[in-house]
Amino acid sequence: MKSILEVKNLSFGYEKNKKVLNDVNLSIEDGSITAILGKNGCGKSTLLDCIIGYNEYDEGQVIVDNADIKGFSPKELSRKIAYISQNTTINLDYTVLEFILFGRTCHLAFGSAPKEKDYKIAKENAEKLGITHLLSKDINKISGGERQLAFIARALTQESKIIIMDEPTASLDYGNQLRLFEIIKELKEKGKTIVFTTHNPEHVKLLGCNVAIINDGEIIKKGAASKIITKEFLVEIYGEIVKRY
Amino acid sequence: MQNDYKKIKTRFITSIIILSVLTVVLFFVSMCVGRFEIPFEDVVKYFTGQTLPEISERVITYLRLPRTLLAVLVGCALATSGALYQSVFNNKLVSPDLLGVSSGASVGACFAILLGLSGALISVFSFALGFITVILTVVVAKIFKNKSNVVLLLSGIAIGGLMSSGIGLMKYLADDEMKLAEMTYWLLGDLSGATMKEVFVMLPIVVISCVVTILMSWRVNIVSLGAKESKTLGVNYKANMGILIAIATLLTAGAVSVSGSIGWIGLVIPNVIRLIVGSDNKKVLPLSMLSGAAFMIIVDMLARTLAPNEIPLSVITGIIGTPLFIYAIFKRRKDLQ
Repeated sequence: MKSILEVKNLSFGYEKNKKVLNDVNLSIEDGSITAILGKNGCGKSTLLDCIIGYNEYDEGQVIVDNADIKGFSPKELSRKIAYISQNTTINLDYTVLEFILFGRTCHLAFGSAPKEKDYKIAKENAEKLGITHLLSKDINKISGGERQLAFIARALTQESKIIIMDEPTASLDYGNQLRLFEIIKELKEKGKTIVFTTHNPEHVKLLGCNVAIINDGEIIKKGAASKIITKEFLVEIYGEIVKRY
Repeated sequence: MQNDYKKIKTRFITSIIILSVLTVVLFFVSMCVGRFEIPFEDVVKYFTGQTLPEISERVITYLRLPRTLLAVLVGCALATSGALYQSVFNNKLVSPDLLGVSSGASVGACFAILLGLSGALISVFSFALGFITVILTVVVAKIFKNKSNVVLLLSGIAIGGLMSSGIGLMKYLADDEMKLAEMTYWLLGDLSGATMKEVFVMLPIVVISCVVTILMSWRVNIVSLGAKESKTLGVNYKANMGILIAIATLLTAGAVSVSGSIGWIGLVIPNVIRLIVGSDNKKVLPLSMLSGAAFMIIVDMLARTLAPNEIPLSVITGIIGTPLFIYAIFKRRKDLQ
């Protein structure tokens, strides 16, 4: 299968001479699910921030659809990659419908706002995720799980091929985590490429997807979850404590 | 599905029409009201080019028309600038003075008064100092090399504080009683000396800024989500934020330079509008523009009719604005927990 997203020799640090990511190489296949697994603070979110073009790296490349993302305008890049963040603080009272419509921005010309067609797309995606009843509610007054669904609806409304999720299960209870995994699988069926970060190996096993293990800013292993997530490997990463469970 | 779009659009257009009609009605009422009352027929005659008593014509031409037009422009400018600042900084409680614009503009005006300058030169000094203060705020924020807006806000508070000390210093140096009184009166806001010259200076500033703001109103929503969200939704955050801050600053500095420092409008009007129509800036910004204009006409009418002497505008905006703001907080009390 062809690669849709490639990270080549990427190094990045927030401060000079202090690298958070060190020579990261990663290839993501079109229409696949890939988990980036690692301990807290190992560089998972930093890597995602480089992939979405938020972190301005000096060394290496991020290639999407065979082109370096540095050559894309924000609009072009957002038509290719949608991003679901770990925590976005919204102090203004946007409705869920308005929030989902934000995903149409990369399809709008300067000076224009969403039209009838855009409302239709937003509402269809809300229907797919079963959140039509929330459309007129304040985005800040719905539960964590519902908010996550609103984010996914926005990403679908953006109509980009790749969806990046930073710790998507962070604020979800067990039931909603499983529901999210179902949605991720459905998105794959529809041809979307999903990349998400997690610090929980169980999530990767449950999804049975591809996995890239990141440790201290370096990708130390990648491949199918079934082959990589073994007890021995978890002991190697997380220490002897794993053996007790 | 399509009904949603049409319903939202119809509601918005209806609100715009109601507020526009209200502003026009208030404008004509403002022509009639004052220490010298002018019959409505005379106002109609004036605007239709018919002959009317000379005294009425002179009062409208030299007093009421310029001050009412300036009230419209200043109200519109302050409400728009408040709505913009609140949105781009994702904080409903910030006012147009956020980056020190009003304080800076006030220092400029007080300095001009101290030098014995008057009229247009006070406005020029005020406008220039207002803009310089914002540039200073941005430069200080840049030193920290931090992407967070909080740094810009903190820098604004620091520079604003410095400018407030500057106002205190000007007042201290103004030993002449006349100058101190002029400064104090100016600082509380005043449109009594409005001229058509000031109207023509403010008009292009407000019109151009409002047109650009309306064109960018959807983007304002995206910018309000922060740098990372903007980037991933396809909006150049830095460029758009820069343009929006420049517009808000231009509007505030322009308004303060011609009318003095008028509080509350930029804080209260956008928040009341949000209570009614929600936070989508496609609606909030144009409705704030119209409401700010209408509100300022009412304030100006009250300023010149409530007492034998003209009441400073900030006194009235404070008296009306405080209960409105408390009401807005009361309505949102659950969100504040």
